[in-house]
Parts: sequence; structure tokens; C-alpha cells
Amino acid sequence: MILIKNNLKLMLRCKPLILILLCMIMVTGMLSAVFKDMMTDNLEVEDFELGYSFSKGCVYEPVKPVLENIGKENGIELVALTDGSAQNAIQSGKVDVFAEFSDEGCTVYSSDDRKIEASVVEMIISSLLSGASGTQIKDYLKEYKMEVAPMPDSQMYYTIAYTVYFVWCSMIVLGVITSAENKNRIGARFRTSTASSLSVYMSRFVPSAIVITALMFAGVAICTALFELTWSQTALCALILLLGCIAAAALATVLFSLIRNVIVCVVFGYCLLMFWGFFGGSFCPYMWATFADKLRDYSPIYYMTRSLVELNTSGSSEFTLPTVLILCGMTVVCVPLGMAAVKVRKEN
Amino acid sequence: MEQTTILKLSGLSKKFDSRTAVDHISLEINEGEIFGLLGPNGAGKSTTLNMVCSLLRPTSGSIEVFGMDAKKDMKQIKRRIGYIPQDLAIHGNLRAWENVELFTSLYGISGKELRTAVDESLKFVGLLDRRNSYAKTFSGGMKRRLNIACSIGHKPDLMIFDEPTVGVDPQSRNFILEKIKEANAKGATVIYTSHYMEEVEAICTRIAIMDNGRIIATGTRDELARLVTDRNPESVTLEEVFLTLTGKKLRDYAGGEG
Repeated sequence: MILIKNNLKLMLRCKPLILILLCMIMVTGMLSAVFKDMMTDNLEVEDFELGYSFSKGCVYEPVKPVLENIGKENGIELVALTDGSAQNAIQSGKVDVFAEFSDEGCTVYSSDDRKIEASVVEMIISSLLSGASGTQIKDYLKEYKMEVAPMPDSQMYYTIAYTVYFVWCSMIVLGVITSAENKNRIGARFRTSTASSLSVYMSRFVPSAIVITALMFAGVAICTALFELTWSQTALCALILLLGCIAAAALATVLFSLIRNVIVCVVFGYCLLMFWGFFGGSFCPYMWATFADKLRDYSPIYYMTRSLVELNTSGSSEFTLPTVLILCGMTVVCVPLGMAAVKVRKEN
Repeated sequence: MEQTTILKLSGLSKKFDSRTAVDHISLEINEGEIFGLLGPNGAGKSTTLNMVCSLLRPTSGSIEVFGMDAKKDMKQIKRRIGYIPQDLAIHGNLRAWENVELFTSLYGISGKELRTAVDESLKFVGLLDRRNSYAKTFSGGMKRRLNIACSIGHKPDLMIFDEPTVGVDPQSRNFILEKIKEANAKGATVIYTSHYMEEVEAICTRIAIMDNGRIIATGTRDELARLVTDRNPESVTLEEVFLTLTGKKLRDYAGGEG
């Protein structure tokens, strides 16, 4: 306990650690502001009016009631237009988008400022018409139900993404103790003492977990207050973040106990996080579209971010259980590894 | 009266790759002694002490401390040894009492016993009134004293001082030497290494001189003096004895073989 307490004091007295917190808030604030418009354009479509017409005897006429149903559920008001061209209807402001059905298919018209809405309509109609032909179309359309997944706003998304990212970045907090021990040649004192490997391990793992957790929850609290965020499934989200902090501390203890050189540890940790971050799809995954999706399966960041985003938007996530298992698994694997590393260091 | 052997080294060697740092040395140190270990740089003093403290594993030979085999009973031995390292091993960002508490707790001491040990150790080195100051604010001499306090909280029976007065002013040096004598008077056996001959002369009851990994002479100050002169032993200084036995050739001179 004394070891844990004093190592915790060493960490808390290291003022530069506050930079982690500031960086997290600043990065989240900047990115959520910068990408706000982009995410809004892509993710939020306001209610609009869709004009439509069917050619005489069109094979796709059975689509009409389903289309109206989808429109109701998604804030699209359908307006049947039998006269005039699509261009007139749009230019006069009668409708925002126009869908013209014929036996050959459907043509969607829109103005430049309604391209997003036109894309939504194209997506819906494409889904409706794909694979449907002749008499089968009625049966097919009866079963069709469109599900639109709710999306987070940019502030919530970036708060989650960068909270998760900085949880792992916070592994660096153990560098404070390692650096102090190296600089002050404390290793000799441990090796000449009767302290067990377990107590030395715990003196690194526990303070790291506490400090990482404190930084993370402080960051989340500040971002929540600053951006007026509303969290759903708060307890489950807190559990995932807490497990993430514990796993990050366990991994940090292995790294710093094995390597002992703070700079090498930081570089190694940075590379690992870059791999997890970029290929794990938690942020900027579009930059790496040519890489296999399988790579993200190796990223705890991906699981954490995805489950947290889904919990906050849908209220549930299939990723929650895998995330919990992965984080617990990492901790369980890292604890004996870290203890072994401490023991080897102590004996040599 | 028969003396109890506290430390017994038998044929102890340590090799680093092809270089032999300690070469088959044998030595016995008795209870209640202040034993001085002298030698030029690279003679093997620190390597020997590091092996006694289990910081290094011997290549061959055996170490017995308090009658116990260092290979088998290291944990029991460690409890009874206080190692004061040559380099300051204290946390600058911890207060004086926190440093002593931290390093004393490494020996399994806790609770009231620990609090008492912290205060006693700080009082012993004259830092009790500065217990709440951060170590980084201390002068060189105070840091040296705190370094000692951090090593004696568990009340060791054998204290190993590896050049504890390097870089301190004469007042602090004198204080440290007095405290070593005081600890010895209270029952602790002391092993002391230093390059300051007058210190060794002043406090050590017996001295061993090492060179090139071997012990080349052991005895009291007068016994060593008689090895190099037929005159009255008191007419020669320990430094003269040392230089006569080990030569004047530089040992860590980069351009020579040393």
C-alpha cells in the first residue's frame, strides 16, 4: 500500500500529465467543430418533399404504398404529381426531389442543394426495386422494412473516439514512475529489498490505473459539460471506459517493466496506437479504405469506440460483450506478463 | 572472546564477458567491526559489495551472511542488510519522510512501526525538522544523509556504505562519519568503502585493500603499515601504505591499460 500510495503521489505531482487532459479536450473540441458540417451533411437529413409519378400501367406501381410508408417513418412527404415536368416541380418549389417511375426503372431529379436528399431517395428506391420484378414484386414489398440507424452528432462521436484514444495514450503516465526510478537509480533499492514481485508490480499497475481513470473521467466530464452532451446507457459506457483504463494500465505495466527505457516505450506505444487507431477504424478509417477490414479486429480501440457510439445512439450494441471480454482478456493476460517482467528485472 | 563472523566470502569471482572484475577473493568480517574496503577505481570493491547485496550474481564462489548461504536464504539476509548506494537513490518529488517511508516499507514494515522507524531514521541523520521538505530542495549533504536514512529504517545488522561522502562538504562528511560510528556503537557491523584515506583511518577497525579484483592485504591500519615499512607504523599514513601496495599508475586512464 505504501508503495502504491507513494507512486501515486509521484504521478499526481507530475504537472505535465495535465497536458493529456487538455489535449483530449482540445482535440475533441477542434475536430468536432471542424467535422461538424461534414457529419451533418452526411448524417442528418431534414424532412423534405418527394414528388413522384408513374407511367401508365407501370410495373412498379405496387411500390407506391410502401414508399409512402417509408416516407412517413422518415419524415419524407410524398406528393403525387401527374402533370408538368420534374424540372418545373422542383424549380417552383412544389417538391425538393422528384422520382419518375417507368417500366425501365426510376429517374430521380433534384437541384444541386438537394443532392443529399436525392441520394437518400435513390438509396430507398434502389433497395425497393432491386431483385423485384413482375408478380413477385408484391410479395417482396410486403416484407420490406427500411431501418435507418441513428447517427451521433460530431461532438458526441469525437468525444467518444478521442476519449477512447486518450485512454490508451495515457499509458504514458507510468513513464513518470519509470523515469523517476531510472533517473534516481531506485532499481538498486528494490533489488536489495525483500519486496515481492507482486508488490512491485501492483505499485506500478494500481497508480497507473487510478490516474488513467481519473484523467479519462475528468476529460469526459469536461467534454460533456462543454459540448452539452447527453449520454445513453451511462453505466454500461462507464464500465467499458473503466475496463479500458484498467487494460491500458496493465499493458503499460508490461511495456514499461519489460523495456524500462521511457523513450523506447513511448515510441512503441505510439506505433501500437497508430495501428489500432488508423486500421482499427476508430477515426479517419476512410484514409485506409484499401486495407482489409480484418485489421480492425485486432484493435481494442475499434471495439470500444463502436460499442460506445452504438450504445449512445441505438441504446444497445452487439459489440458490448466482445468489448468487455477483449478488455478483461487483455488485463488477465497482461497481469502475469507484467509480474514476470518485474521478476526478471528484479533478479537481473 | 570468540568473534562471530558476519560475512564470509569464499573464492568469490565475478566475470563480465572476458573481464574478471573480482578474482577468487576470500574474506571474513566479524560482528561489531567497521571494515574498510579500499582500492583504486576498478579494483572490484563495488562489484564485491553488489554481490553481497544480491545486486549481482557471482560467477563462482560462495557468500555467507549471518551464517546463511546467500543463494538459499537471500530473503532473510536482505532483511538484515542496509545498503547505502554510492549514487543517490531518492525521489526528488517526494518529501523526506515519504522517501524514508517508501524505502523502509520495502522490507515489510508497516503501521506504527513504520512511522516510528521513519522518525527515528530522520532523527538519526539530523533531518527530522525537514521531514516535510521535498528531497529536490535539499543540498548535496542533506541528500546524502537522506540517502542513508532511506537505507537504515529497517534497522539492519550489517550496513554497507559505498562511498557515502562523495561530493559533500567537510561538515556533512564529519556528521556522516560520526553517525556511522554511532550506529556501530549501537551494534551494527559496518562495511565502508571510500577513496578518502583519512576517513577510513578515522573510523575503520580493520581494512582490506583490493586491486585488480584481488584482495592484496588485510589487517588493522598498523598491520598494513608494517607491510610497507620497518619504521613506526604511526609514522606512515594510510595513503602511503595504499600507494605502495597498489602503485601510482592511473587505473582509469583512458589512454593506458590502467
